[in-house]
This record gives sequence, structure tokens and C-alpha cells, in this order.
Amino acid sequence: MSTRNSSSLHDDLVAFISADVALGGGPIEPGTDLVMSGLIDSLGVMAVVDWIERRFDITVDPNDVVIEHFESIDAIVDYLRGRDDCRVE
Amino acid sequence: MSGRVDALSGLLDSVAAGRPHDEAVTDGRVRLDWVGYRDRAASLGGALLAQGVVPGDRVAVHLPKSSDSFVAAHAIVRIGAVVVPVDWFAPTDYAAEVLRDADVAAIVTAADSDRLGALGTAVDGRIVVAPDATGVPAAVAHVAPASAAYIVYTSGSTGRPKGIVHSHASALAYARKAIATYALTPADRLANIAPLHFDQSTFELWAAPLAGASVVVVPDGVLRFPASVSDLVARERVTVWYSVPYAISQLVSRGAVADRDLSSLRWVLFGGESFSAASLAQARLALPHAWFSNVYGPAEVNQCTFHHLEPHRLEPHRLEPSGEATDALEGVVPIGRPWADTEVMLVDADDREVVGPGDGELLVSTDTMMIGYWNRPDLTAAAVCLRPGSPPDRRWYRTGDRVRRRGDGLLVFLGRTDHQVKIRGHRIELEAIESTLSEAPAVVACAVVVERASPDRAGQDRLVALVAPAPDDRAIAMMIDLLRRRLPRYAVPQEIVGVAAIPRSGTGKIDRSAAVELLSECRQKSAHAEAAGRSSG
Repeated sequence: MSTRNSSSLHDDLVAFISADVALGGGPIEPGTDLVMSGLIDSLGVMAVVDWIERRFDITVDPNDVVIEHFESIDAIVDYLRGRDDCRVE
Repeated sequence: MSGRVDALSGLLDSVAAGRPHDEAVTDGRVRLDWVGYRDRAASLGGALLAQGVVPGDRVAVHLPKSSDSFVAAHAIVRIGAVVVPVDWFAPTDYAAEVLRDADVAAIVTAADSDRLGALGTAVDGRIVVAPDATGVPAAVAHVAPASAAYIVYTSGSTGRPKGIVHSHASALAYARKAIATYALTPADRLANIAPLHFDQSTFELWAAPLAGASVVVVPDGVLRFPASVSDLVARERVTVWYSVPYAISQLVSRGAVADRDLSSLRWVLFGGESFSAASLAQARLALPHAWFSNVYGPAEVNQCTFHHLEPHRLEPHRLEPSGEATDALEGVVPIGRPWADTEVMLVDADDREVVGPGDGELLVSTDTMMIGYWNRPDLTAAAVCLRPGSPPDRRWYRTGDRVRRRGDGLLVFLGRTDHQVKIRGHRIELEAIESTLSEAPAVVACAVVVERASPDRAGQDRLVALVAPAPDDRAIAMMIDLLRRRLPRYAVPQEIVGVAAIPRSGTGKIDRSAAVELLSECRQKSAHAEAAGRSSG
């Protein structure tokens, strides 16, 4: 089981998305709509899922890769917090 | 009902009269019946008129995918103006170019002041209207069916946007043929996958209302998550899906299709690009109740041919689990036969007609043909012609597509002549190589790029094939063997490079310049890895 502090998880996600995924510039706030802001496309979604799986050593079921869980950094953190196999403080 | 409509402007009134409270359009947030759809369009139309928009004016729609965008398109045609969809996700420079090129009188947009500011002077002097603006309900304008109704912008071969102008008549001719070909009824529910600036959306914009069928708009946010898309399709009992092959492959590979009840889907239409045999086979296995159909037609004519594939459940023995579609000869799905009111002609390199089986450039004559390119009579004259021996009022559109007519009369797409590249003086069609390479079972998607010679590598431009998912050595060897067997030596890629995915544009087609960049990045990564290996070794 992996444990990550949530504010550092926010920061890490912002850093990853900005560096490796984002299609354009623009600030990434916790509540920013990642798709509608034009920051990520479907390839970007896949990259974020990969990143999460590697960081927490988990498998994300395709059923979980839905807009409710991934539309913003907050949504991603909430999703991970709701899993019982990764602890987010 | 469809017999009374001769212009798009009266379309919603016509269907609202017959079935006022049946569901017409939804985007998950807003759900409108036909009266609601018509009333919102009439109100927005009234707002545009009040701001000085007159018939013939171009009016841009710059909105995310939503019921609002559909209402806006119908509001604009209702008042006799011309719809110009502008991609919400387009780079601002490109969007600005479209606005200027079409010289729009108004823009229906949800853009905030930041986005409008970014568009800069392209917005100056143009009316900006919110999608929920209201006005005195506009009457249905009297428009000549041959007058312009909408403009679809496409990248020209030089990269500058080029507007394809369609009339009310060509739009309705397309809608009628689509209704007949796919037997659309008021019981149908069409998913809208394509954004309005991509002409596949005319199926949902015009054919759906003419059939009395409802539309389920898949919002942009949902569209990025195949598992959300499949959920929406199942919940809304979508009956017809129409998209580029990429969106179907995504749905099948990442959309948790096995966990959804998608039995409502009776048609899966695909077009805009070739569907790899392996991916198509997977899709037909995953959606065994659906008829699949290849839709072919440049945006200049909307659609001109079709080819149906029966549901997998009816012929299960004809699809191997390994993914080879054995019913499509040569592993390539035919584009099929011309549909109604449409004639096709193949011409050879000397512009002589190819009669019977053979290869050539496809010319099309049909009532779904565009009026022409916006403000580009030179391009129109180059693309639309008369033919000797053909009646003087029959226009032919040169598709720029190379096509094969088989012995059985079916047409097969070979490649686009305007994606020809030159390698050592030989003409190469990248799509032809991709089409062949796609027959290999391990290939889900591929793109062939020309890697330009660098000064330090003596001489030659090279053809490199990017293949997704990254194949192992054995699969690569099989691919090279396939290519060598099927293509002239100069057309065989020198190298196959595995990648995670092929870059695509907003419409789902291969983004060729991004593919070239991706290859360049792969080279750099290998070079760094090599250098690191040397320094640590």
C-alpha cells in the first residue's frame, strides 16, 4: 500500500501534466477542467492513468477511467482517496 | 414530411409540427423536444436579426460540443444566414483565420473575454452573441435551395484554411440519402461524436431532424473518456454511431464495452480514414449486434459511397479471434458502391476514363456536391469540371483520391493523390503504404512519414513507418515481409518504429506533422539513451 501526502500529490500531478501531457500553457488549478481547458486529450488521459498506476503500484480498471474521476486534479485525488489500496493523507 | 422541406430553414418547424414533444436533442445537461429545439433556434435567430444579421451573412458558431451548438446552427439557417462552425479547440491563430476568411458578420460563442481577446482583431467589427441570447422568434426565411447554408473549413494542401460551401439543396440531398441508406426512423437516436466543424456532424445536424430522429450530443469532456462514452451510449440507448475509426477503436479497447449493454446500437458508421483490418474485426466482435458501414466521401460531396458489413453475430465463423477480417478481400474494407443519384468515374494519369476494373482517380457527380470553395474560384475551377461526352449541366468533382474498381464492381480506396511524396524521384502515396501495413494483424494504427535527410547522414530521405502498439521483432519482420510483397521497392519503409499511439488531429485523422515530430523525439530519446549507456558503461 502506498501513502502520499495529498498536497504533494496535487503538486506532483500538476508538475507531471504540465511537463509531459499538457497541450498548451495555462495555469492548472486543483479544480481546473483538464479537458475543457484544452490541456489534455485522450492520449493525455492515458498518460495520467499510466503515471498513477506506476506511482501507486495499482491497476486502474477501465471502468474507473471516467470523466467523474479524472476531469480535474481534485477529482483525481478524490478518486485515489476513495480506493482502498492507496492511502492519500 | 420530408417532401415538404426544400431548405434547412424550415426543417425544425416541419418536424415539430408532426411530433412536437418527442425528444429531439440532448447533451446530458439540456434535453429538448422538437418544439423546444425549434423555439430556442427561433429565439436565437431573432437575437441575430435584431443585431443586424441579414440573409447571406456568414455567422460563426464557436462553442464546445453541446445542445447549444446544434440550436445555434439551426438558428442561423432559419434566418437565411450561413453557418460557419469554428473548432472550439483550434489554435487561436487558426480560428482567427477562419473568421477573417469567411468574413463573418457575427459569432455565436460562449467565449469569455480572455478567449475573445486572444482572437484579437479577428473579432473587431463582428457581432458577438451568446448561445442563450433571446429575441423575438424569427420567422423561417424564404431561401433559394441553391443558396449557401453552411461552410466547412478544412486545411488546404498548403495549410491555409479552405471553406467548402454547401447549399440547402446539397445538405438535404445528403440527408435524404443518409435516411434511406441507414433506414433512419423517428425511433432512432444518433450519437453526435464529430464536432460541428467536421462534416460528419451533418448527419446529426440535418439528417436526424429530417428523419424525426433524436440526437445525443457527446460533450467534449465525456468524449476523452471512452468508458464514459460507452456509459452514455448505453444509458441513452443510442442506435446509430458515426465517427472516425479511431473513436471506435478507443471505445472498444478502453470503453469497458463488455460491462455495458450496447445492444441498442444497430449501426456503427465509420469514415474519414481507413479502418485497420485488425481494429475493425475487434470492433465487430465487441459489438456483435451492430451492422457496420464504411462511409466514404470527401467533405466537398459529403458522402458518395457506402459498404455495409453484417453483424458479427450472424456470421461468427467469418472472423478469426486473431483479428483478421476474412470477408474483406485483401484485408481492406471496400468503400463500396455509389449511393443514389450519384455517378462515379475513374480516370487515369492522362485523364482518360478507366472503364471496368482498374485503378484511377475518382471523380464524382452528385446532388450532394458543394457550391464551391469560399472565395477561391481558382481552387473550385481546378476541382470541379465538366467532362467531354457528359451533359453540359453535369459537374464532376475531382476527389484527388486513388481508387480501385474491382471485378465485382466494388470500389477500394488506395490513397490520396495530394499526399503523394517523392522519394528518390518516385511518387509515393503514404496512405497506400499505411493501408497495406494495416493489414498486418499486429497493427492497430500506423502512419508513414518521410524522414528528411539530415546533413550528417549522407543523402537520402527515408520512409519510416510508425506503428502502434509497439511491435516485437517478430511482428516487425512479418510487417516488412508484407510490405515487400505488396509494394514497389521504393515504397517500402526503411524502418518500422514502435510508438504508443499515432498523433491525431481534432477530427481524429492522422496528424502528419505531429507524426514527424514524434519520430524525431524517438530518435532523440534513443540517442540520449545510447549516450547514457556509453558514459555509464
